[in-house]
Amino acid sequence: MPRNNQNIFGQNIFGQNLFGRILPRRSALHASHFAIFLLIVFSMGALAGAAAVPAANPNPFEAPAREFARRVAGNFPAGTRVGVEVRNRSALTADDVAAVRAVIVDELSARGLRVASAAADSADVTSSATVTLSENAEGYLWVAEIRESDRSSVMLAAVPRPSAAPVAESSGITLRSALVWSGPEHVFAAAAFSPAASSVPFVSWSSAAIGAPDLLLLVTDGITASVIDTQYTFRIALPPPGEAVRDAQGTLAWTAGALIASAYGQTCTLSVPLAASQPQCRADDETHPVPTTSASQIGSQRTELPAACGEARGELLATGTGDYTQPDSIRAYEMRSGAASPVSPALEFPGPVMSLQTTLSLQMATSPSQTTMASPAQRSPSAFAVVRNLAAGDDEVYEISLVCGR
Amino acid sequence: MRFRSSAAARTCGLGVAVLLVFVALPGAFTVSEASTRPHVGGTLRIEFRERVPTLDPRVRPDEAQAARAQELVDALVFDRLLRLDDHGDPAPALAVAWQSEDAGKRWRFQLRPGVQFSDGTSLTAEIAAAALAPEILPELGSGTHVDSIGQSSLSIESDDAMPDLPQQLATGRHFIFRVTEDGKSLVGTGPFVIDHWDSGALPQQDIFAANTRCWAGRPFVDRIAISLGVESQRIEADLEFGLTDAGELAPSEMRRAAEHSVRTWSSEPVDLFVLNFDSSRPAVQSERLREAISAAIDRSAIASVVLQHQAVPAGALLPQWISGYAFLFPAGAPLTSQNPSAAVKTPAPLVMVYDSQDAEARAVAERVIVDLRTAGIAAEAHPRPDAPSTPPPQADVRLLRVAIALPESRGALDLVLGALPVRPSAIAFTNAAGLDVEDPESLYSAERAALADFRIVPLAHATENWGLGATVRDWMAPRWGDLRLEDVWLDLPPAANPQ
Repeated sequence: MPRNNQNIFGQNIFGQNLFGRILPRRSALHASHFAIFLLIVFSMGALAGAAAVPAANPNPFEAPAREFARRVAGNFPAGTRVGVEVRNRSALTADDVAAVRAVIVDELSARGLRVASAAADSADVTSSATVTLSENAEGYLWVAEIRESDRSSVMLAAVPRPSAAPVAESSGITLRSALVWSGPEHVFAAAAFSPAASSVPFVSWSSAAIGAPDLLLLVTDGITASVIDTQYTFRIALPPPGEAVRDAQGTLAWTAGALIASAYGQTCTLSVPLAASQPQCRADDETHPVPTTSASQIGSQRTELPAACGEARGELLATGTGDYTQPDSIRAYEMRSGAASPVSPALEFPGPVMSLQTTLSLQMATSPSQTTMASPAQRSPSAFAVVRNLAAGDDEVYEISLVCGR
Repeated sequence: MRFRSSAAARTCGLGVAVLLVFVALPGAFTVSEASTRPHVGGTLRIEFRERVPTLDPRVRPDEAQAARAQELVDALVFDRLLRLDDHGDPAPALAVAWQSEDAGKRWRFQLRPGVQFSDGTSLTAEIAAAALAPEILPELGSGTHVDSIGQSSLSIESDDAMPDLPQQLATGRHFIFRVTEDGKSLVGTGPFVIDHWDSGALPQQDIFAANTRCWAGRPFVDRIAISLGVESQRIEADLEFGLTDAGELAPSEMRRAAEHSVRTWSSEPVDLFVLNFDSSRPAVQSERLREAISAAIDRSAIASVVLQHQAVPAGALLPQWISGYAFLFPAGAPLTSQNPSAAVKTPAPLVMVYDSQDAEARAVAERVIVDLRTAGIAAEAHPRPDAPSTPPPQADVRLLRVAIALPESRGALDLVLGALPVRPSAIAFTNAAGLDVEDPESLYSAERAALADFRIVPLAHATENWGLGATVRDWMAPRWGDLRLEDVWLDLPPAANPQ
């Protein structure tokens, strides 16, 4: 059945995850947020939802490689000596190829075949499997050319591309990124979300930060929420824009007990529980035309982080100055006399950064009556970056964190 | 187009001003906007090699290159029901939702509400259905019915399953238009409107203005000035001297453009050069002869010499980047283990016909003729005459150029096979049986079957090439070569860009 068999609200729902792929966060982020989490849990009495950190899969191709090898093995009688060669015609790295080959050889051996290397004496090996790790516009395509005595055949298998997360480090400030979501839907902005937001008038940022990759996404026609552990999802439709724009931007932020979504020249307030909230929207009054001049060495997506690396230093995260056809980067800057001085190396991304927003508004808003800001040493400021992956064509959401003084 | 002036201002507007009290970020608000986001204004000057006699989507030029150019220009003025996203999957355009019924024999499309044509009239299902009428678009298939359902839905029905209909409607000339009351002109919902159109001049000089009513938002440039029918050498020179902002470049001009520091953009290899034999003609009824012809052609020389490395040799219909399995069809060496040409005799020279307006097709045809003669096969190349009144020569084989403007394997194979005047029997397998799109082995088998009897002989996959001026930003053409000029903006100095 074709993937595009049905489409609702511009989103394929047939054979495709409506909310893209939510990915496990990096454990490096979690420890620094744990103190905040404890504070919030203590002050609010009980906020459940602290999920365990999902373990990272060291070889994302383990399962497809094993399945492919099973199919290849089915072409040979048990005990056959099979020459196996693995070729790469894709963007896979040598390490990936070696890992795939190891899995294939292991599975073929487990199926009772005697695997010979490509360098083995060809006279001794009459059966062979030449596996080519290829790719097409839709993903990886693995091809096996099977030769068994006088018979030959071809097997093909489509394998989806996994995503990668870039990291940049320096001797001073280090930027780290964790890919937390990717999918075909166009994302304006991202914010952390907890299932608690649907039932209590407070929002737990930290329950998301310690491992549950729970996200709110502002998309072209509303807000989506997805909580991977509970498969809890909902979608809130926002009013259609009064005036369509091509370079539409949007923001998501929490205030006390409410989520503020801004896009298309209007700002909407959603109270908790979000799933039952009716957005209250008003037109923005403070707007400006699209910029017509270039006068800066830093890009137009910027967000401020507090003085994370010393009391006197505030950090600004900003993108590069390329256009939307180019890979982009995020770098931390220190503001001195109105000028931005870079204080970290650039963290590279596979496409333009379309949105960059601090997550700190949520921390502040968790409980306005109580102090939830940790000391700079405890705090790990972060931001969400929405990146349009030029190679994959997907939007990706990264959590960018800033680590001081290595 | 409205948005807040800076990240800081946005943050304030979102109710987190209290955060700034704690943060006290000195100087953060004095940073001015930078270049990442698009700018508005200016006139984009663009030059095409092909002429486009009419923008009327109901009129389809015979030659593939002319049809392709017309589609690219039509897309400035007209929208389709669907578009292709960056993955090549159908995405909403004038339709926001769609679903199939009755095993793909019936499709329903829900129109986007509130869409206006550039003259202010509203888009209705009746207008959309009229634009997609089978008498206008026979490629939808015989026995197809397009009907409006109320004001905002339409259905497309056929006796046969139409699994690829969304892809079909997102490509080609499936544009939605409205015929004005006087019946003399068409209006669209696209990002631009025709400001000046003169198909008589050479080169054609046409002006398109931004459509402020466009449902997707006003494009960034104020105007597009298009010159059509410009020679490739002149396009390269105009780019070099800043007389145009973007221009279509022939493969032969790409090296010169690079030498002159002209920025260039190339698609993936999408243009298939292919021989299509008319096996009803006595001269080429022999499969052995067709195999000999295929084996005699030096595809590597076509890709590297004739097409100046802006192409790759093709043994398959679909290029490697679309199918992922094209390497299983060898192209660099003779396709058979033994060259049977020595044993093949032809009673008279074979007649090969190519598009007279396509300079690359002519060069490829001449190279093929040289290879055939070298192999002892007599052959002649003739251009297809320009004038419709002149009958074309009786072709034993046609050299065709097919733009594969679709990155999805199954749809692309259907597109290629559908573009061939003489199709193999395998086409029935592909269309009627309905290949499982998730099954690459079925697709591979279908393509191998289509090539098995040598009535279709792929030669090369070539890129589409553009030269870009220094001020052009966000040239976000997809890998398969469509233009998205509504997203392009010009990075002009403030004096040249009053807004």
